[in-house]
Amino acid sequence: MKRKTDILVLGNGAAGSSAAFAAKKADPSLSVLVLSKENEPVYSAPALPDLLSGELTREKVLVRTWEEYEQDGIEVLCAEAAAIDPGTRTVTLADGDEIAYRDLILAAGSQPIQLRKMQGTSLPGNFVMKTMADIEAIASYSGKSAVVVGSGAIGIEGSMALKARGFERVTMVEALDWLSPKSLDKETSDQLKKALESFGVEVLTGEAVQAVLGEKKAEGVVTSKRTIPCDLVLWGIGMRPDVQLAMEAGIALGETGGILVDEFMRTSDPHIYACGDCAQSTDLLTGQPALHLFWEPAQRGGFAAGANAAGQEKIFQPSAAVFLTNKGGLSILALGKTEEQLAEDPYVLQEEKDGVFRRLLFEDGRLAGVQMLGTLQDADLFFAHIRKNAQRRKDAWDLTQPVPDLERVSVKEAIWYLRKQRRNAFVK
Amino acid sequence: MEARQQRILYIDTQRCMGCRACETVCKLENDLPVGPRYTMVAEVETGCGLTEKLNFLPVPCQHCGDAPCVRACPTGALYKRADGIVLVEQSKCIGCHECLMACPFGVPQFGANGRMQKCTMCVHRIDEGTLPACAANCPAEAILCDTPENISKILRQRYSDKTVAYGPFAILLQEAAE
Amino acid sequence: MKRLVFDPARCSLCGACLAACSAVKKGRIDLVQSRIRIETAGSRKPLRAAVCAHCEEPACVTACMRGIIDKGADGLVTRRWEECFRCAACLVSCPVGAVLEDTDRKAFIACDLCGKAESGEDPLCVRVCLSGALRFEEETAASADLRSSYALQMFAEQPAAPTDPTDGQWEEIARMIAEECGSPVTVKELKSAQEQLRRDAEEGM
Repeated sequence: MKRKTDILVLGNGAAGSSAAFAAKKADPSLSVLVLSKENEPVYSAPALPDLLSGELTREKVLVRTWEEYEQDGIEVLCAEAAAIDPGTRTVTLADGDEIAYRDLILAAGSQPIQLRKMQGTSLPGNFVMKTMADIEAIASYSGKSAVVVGSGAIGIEGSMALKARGFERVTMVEALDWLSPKSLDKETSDQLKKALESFGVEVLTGEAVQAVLGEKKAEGVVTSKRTIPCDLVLWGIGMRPDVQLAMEAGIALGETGGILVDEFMRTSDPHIYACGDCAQSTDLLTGQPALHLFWEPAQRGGFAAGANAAGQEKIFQPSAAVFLTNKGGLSILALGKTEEQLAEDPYVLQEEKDGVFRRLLFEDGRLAGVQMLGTLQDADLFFAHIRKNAQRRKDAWDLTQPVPDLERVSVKEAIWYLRKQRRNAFVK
Repeated sequence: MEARQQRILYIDTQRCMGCRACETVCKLENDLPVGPRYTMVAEVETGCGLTEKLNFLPVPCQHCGDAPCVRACPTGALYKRADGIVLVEQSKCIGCHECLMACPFGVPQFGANGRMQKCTMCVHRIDEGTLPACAANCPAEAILCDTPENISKILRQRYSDKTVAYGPFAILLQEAAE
Repeated sequence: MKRLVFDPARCSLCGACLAACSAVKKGRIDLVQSRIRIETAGSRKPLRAAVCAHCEEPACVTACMRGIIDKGADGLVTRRWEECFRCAACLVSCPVGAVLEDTDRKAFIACDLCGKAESGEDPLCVRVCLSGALRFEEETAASADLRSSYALQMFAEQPAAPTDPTDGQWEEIARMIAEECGSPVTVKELKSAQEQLRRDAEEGM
């Protein structure tokens, strides 16, 4: 059977569904077909930890309902694509069916990295946390103690969720020296460690997991320093863009391993667009190619790709990496550079007061990064400064100004100064 | 950076007679629909009785040195070009209106697409080496577009022309009347 | 559409708008829960108002991890707040700092113009701002207003510094708020809210 569609979207996550809805909105006369591996309407992957903890129900993590798809006239096919032929503009499904498209949008997303070669990692009791099915699998697996490997967003939110789910003992293991080293400095990590411990999560850093013990199911984890008995192992060691199909179809990949797209989300093939986790984007702050596996750029990229595939010209503005967690009384926000990434004339201001931790990182007197725990206040102020300081154009006047006397000001005074700077109000 | 000698739009309020030619040519030059006004002639009544007077002030963008709109823009859509002209990159604008709140002169405009647009000092004409439409078409030559240095020269010349024509005493009388 | 426009030069930091907002939305005067916030640099120096600008391309809409923030055809940004699971993405991404956490509803919220977008009537926060610092206007009208007041400064005298409401005005404000939210509001409450606002401003909160 060979069917035809104007717009074919591979993937029904944040990017895929946004693209489908945007394409239909841009030109309602187009037929839009979405191929989805999962038989679910689009749901919020960042909300999955809350589903695991039991705070949210299944319905409450759905972003759209099937009725909404129907109302907008978007067809969804629960099937897996096996190959793309850009020459004849056809996608072959796993069951042999073919679908001809006018424009194709790749939104396959990403896959959690799994260490297949390590001993014991394929035993029952090893889990990842990416799809609704993963959560259901964890929920239906009984256990009292868990080891969470990795300390990124999944590691942190996963540990909190397992603890809230009633696991007596949850141990987070990070191979590197401190937590979330890509986003946080050691000082912030130390504070975070304290916060996590106050929630009852044990935190071990600088210990690499070497094997998972057990005969028929996971019974423990061997690290470089000890053996931790446990019933369940949750792996959160990173994600990798799903580019297999694109690669096989000869679509160009970028240096980060994601699909190369231009500002209109077009790939090297003029009829194929890509968006979401599988596409490489540009980092707003560094201007360098980057993989931003976040909800916001996926959704926005989807809107752009969908509109462009439907014949509009919508530019996708680069996004910045934001490390944000606000769950169960723990809020963490990290924006911009870490201390390690600071270039010229670095300076760090830090303050811990009444359970609120703030760390402002300056480069050349200008705000370049911020890490906060226990508060999200002034996020807009920091974000605006960081992004504008990073985006200074060579062909324009530089109106950014260093915060004077950084050595002598407190965090509060620096924030005041930044506020005034935003409105050029320096009069006392 | 080298000495920042930027062009500015100078308004000689003594010459402006409220004909609104600048508003009209600006709309034509920039092909503006109903709504956005890159320049607007504001009217202010002063005095009463014999001294009552209607004053006019065309308000285009001032292309400020330390532009508050550029400072306020959270996305970096607004920038001050090397020659000092404040411009907006519309694809970066999200239409948050921060620039309008920050601008003391109410210059930022929002068209049908909801994104900010504003007086560009007719950047296309400047790049061609001609004057902005408002300055080129002001019948009273009340709008000047030049560097502050040159504008100062023009104003000094205008003053001395008046002095020669009417004598200093006549000017003092005129100023007293105002 | 009309939006809330704030002119710091006319604001005396009386706090009436914040009090009105929390009274209408929360049934009590609670500055922290006001959906309009005045950012200051010192107790007498208002800088800007942080209130939802109903952006053309709202960052919160794409950031929301549950897709419950929508930009309607009428331009209004609305939230189905009952569905909010408090990921705080809207708060972090909002360029104007307009989002806050409603502690009773357990949801992140922002100004919804009190449903006055369609009718164009002034919302309560605007009506209680007797100094005219907070206005409800179309962009074109706001721009014309600002241009005219600049011209006024050029030709006429400098505008007087904004002053606190008089006792009679305070009573008027209290009456307007009480009428709108249906429960009595005293001048004393309003004045203590003002004091708190100034204290917070002094401390740099």
